[in-house]
Amino acid sequence: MTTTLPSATVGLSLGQLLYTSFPGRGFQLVHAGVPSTASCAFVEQIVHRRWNPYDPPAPGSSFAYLLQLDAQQTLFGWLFDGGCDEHARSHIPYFLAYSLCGPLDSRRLDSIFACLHKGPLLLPLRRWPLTLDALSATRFRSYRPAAPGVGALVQVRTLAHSRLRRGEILDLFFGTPQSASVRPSLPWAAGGTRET
Amino acid sequence: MPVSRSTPSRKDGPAESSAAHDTFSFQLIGQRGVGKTVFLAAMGAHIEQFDEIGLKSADPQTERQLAQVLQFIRTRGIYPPATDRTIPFNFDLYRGRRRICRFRWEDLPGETCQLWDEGFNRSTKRSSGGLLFVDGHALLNDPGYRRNLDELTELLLPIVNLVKLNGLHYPLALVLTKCDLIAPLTPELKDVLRQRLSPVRRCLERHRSRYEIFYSSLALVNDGPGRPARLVVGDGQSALLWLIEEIQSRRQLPALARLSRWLGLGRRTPPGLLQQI
Repeated sequence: MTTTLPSATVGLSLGQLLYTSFPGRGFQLVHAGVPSTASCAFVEQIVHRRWNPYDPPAPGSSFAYLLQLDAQQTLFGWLFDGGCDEHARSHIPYFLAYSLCGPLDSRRLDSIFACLHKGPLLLPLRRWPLTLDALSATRFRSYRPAAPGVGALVQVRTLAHSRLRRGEILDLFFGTPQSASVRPSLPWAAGGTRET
Repeated sequence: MPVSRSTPSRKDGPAESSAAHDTFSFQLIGQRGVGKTVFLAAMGAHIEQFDEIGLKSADPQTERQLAQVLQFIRTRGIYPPATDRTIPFNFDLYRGRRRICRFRWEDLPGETCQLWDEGFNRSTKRSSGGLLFVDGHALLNDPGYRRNLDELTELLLPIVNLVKLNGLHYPLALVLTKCDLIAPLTPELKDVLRQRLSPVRRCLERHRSRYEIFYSSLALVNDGPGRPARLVVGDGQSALLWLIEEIQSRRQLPALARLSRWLGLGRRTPPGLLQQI
């Protein structure tokens, strides 16, 4: 698949955030290149709003999200099924997100939708301690996704663009709950350890 | 110390707010995966069955959460997933239409049960008593579980110190979870478990803390594909009833006295009684 986050983001670096459960540590947020206000907003406005531990989505489901915190800061990423924790409890959420600093315009929005569809650049393993790096936007020019992404319906993209034109804050969450038998498992679910 | 007392003349536990005088909060202490969520859901479902005294979910959020946990267990046939944030559960005691008092506990992620966690300290400060969860199955079968006991003891130490130094009353129910995995729970086996709990018990006894041990059995029974799973609960409510009885014995609160009478405390549910949820 060809790339997406390209010319519109040249010279930019993207912050990276991961919220999931780590063996021996439990739920932790790891991030790099992200202001503390954005990392707090990620947990409060994405993780806590989109994940209900008492009513989790079906195993194998994947979702994508995009949240504009303000005119200069946008978070976007995926919610994957993280498999089981070390206590054999299933339905561990795996929230991976990128943070884009700078104004969001129509081209960047298209780039983000394409990236969400294609999938993440890296899929950090749930192994503690974990160090993440900020990612240069040029790395998104051509990459093999580490996991399948989530495409947005045309209606969702159209709505997002019209909201952007009206100067409204974007707050999107989409995806189709699927069963594990339909969607291929992520590396950790199969016991693998791939990190692209 | 996690607590600073605003009303030093009161000797009724670390509960901080007089505005919440009719709310009895119980702190949960337990490591990840010990079974706090499923215990709370089962206890909540049990006490909602006491129709004659009208103990009900106090808010739609509690009602929804309780329904969601039980629905998850029944439909998926597995225990609930890990809790990743602190989630409150509130139950109101009614007599007829009159609200008498409120019971509150918070489902805490095990990773927040730490001395340096602000939320854990805040809820300890608000509580009238506590439930300390220990994995009964691991206690019996895993020699390495001794480390977990030491960590729990370290966590308990400042709490029981505070209680002792201030002459407070803070009952602690020691709940041994996953006892269905080590059934039948014979008197001999209970003796072994009590013996292995000695690091925690020594800490409590040294500080003259009020405590009692409970054996929690929440077996998940799957009857086959397409049929909802059942949670078979052995004596699930005793820990809560004991805490109520303990608090009432010191505080002599009219609301709790009535509750004690209605629940027949002192003639507690026979141990080993099984119910299905």
